[in-house]
Amino acid sequence: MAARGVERVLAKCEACIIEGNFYEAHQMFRTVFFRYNSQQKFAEAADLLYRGALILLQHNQHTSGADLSLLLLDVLNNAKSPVSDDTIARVTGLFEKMDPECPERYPYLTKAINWSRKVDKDHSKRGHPDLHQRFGVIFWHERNYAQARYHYIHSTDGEGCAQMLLEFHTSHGYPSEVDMFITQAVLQYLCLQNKTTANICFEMYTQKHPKIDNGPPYRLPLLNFIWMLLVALEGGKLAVFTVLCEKYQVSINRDPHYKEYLDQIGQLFFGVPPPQRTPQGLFGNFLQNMLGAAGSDDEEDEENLVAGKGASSSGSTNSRMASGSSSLLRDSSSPLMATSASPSKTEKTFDLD
Amino acid sequence: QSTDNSWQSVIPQDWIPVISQDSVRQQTQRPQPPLSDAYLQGLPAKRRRMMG
Repeated sequence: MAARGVERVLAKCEACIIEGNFYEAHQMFRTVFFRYNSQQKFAEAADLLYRGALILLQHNQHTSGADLSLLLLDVLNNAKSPVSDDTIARVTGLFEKMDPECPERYPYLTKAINWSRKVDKDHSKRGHPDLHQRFGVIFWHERNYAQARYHYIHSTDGEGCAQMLLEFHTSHGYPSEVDMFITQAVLQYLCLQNKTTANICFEMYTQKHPKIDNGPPYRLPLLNFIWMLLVALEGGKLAVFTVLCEKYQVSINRDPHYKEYLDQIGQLFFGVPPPQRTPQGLFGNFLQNMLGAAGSDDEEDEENLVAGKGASSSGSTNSRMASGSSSLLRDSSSPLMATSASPSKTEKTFDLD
Repeated sequence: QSTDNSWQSVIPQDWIPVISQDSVRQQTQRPQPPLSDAYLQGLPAKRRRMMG
């Protein structure tokens, strides 16, 4: 059986590593990997790469460890290996051991998410929630809250997200934002049609945050708004939604983006027709950004997938940003405060499923 | 403010006192101070770049 082959190679490489011949070990892993790969022995190849990468990373050989890690994701991709607890543990385990500063880490992250998108039809837009959850935990441990937050929002771990947000708020936010941190998360979960996680996250955050009194109802109007909004989602009555948005307009205006999230939530849960807009309008951009990977090609996804990673802007990004900013000025077409919106085109500028 | 109370018939009755109290609270609410970097990091990546 070929597994024995893997063991033999590993034994040799381990010997190399003990002697400090990291270069030789790395090359040996690569050579054997390419042999397996050309023989289509993907399981063996993946096993070898995982264990090789792990040994190298454990010996602080970050570049060669990352190299094998990236090769592992290529194999998972090519072999269309399904997302399982075991593969998630391996993929994120290597990520955790990579040097946070090493330049391969971010490409590795996006490659991992893209693998989960490709092999799992249910999560072909944003990547597998369990994979996001693991990345969220790792970033949280590294106190990289912005990244942790992004991945938690794409996970189904509302409890973990709440605890992370609580810590993020108390360590880096302003006291006046105690209700805004959770509002932002809940509204984003809802835009991603993840009602269950939104509910759990809200419950945990409000229960555990030392600066929030017992409720509902709460002392802070914005929290009451979110509480009632979450209840209203169940009934799905547009009139209720409209009353809530009217009565809490002052609180909603605290962050100009809330209105956009609520427009989207109105469409998703309360049958509000989408506003008329140009196909490349601000809102389309906005959602694509938030959803990460809404139906675009890979290259663009890699850019979108990870928040907090600034930098690169391709030509298409620039043009989309330009068209987005021009429609910033045109903000009155929102159906949020109106029960009867203007008749909509049925065009889909964004796609949530 | 508006004396139109028709909204009260639309929503669950136990919400009425909550919303009424919040309406009063919101009238005296101070304007939102500038938001922290931490909070703004929750915005979609490109949006932050546009604002920055």
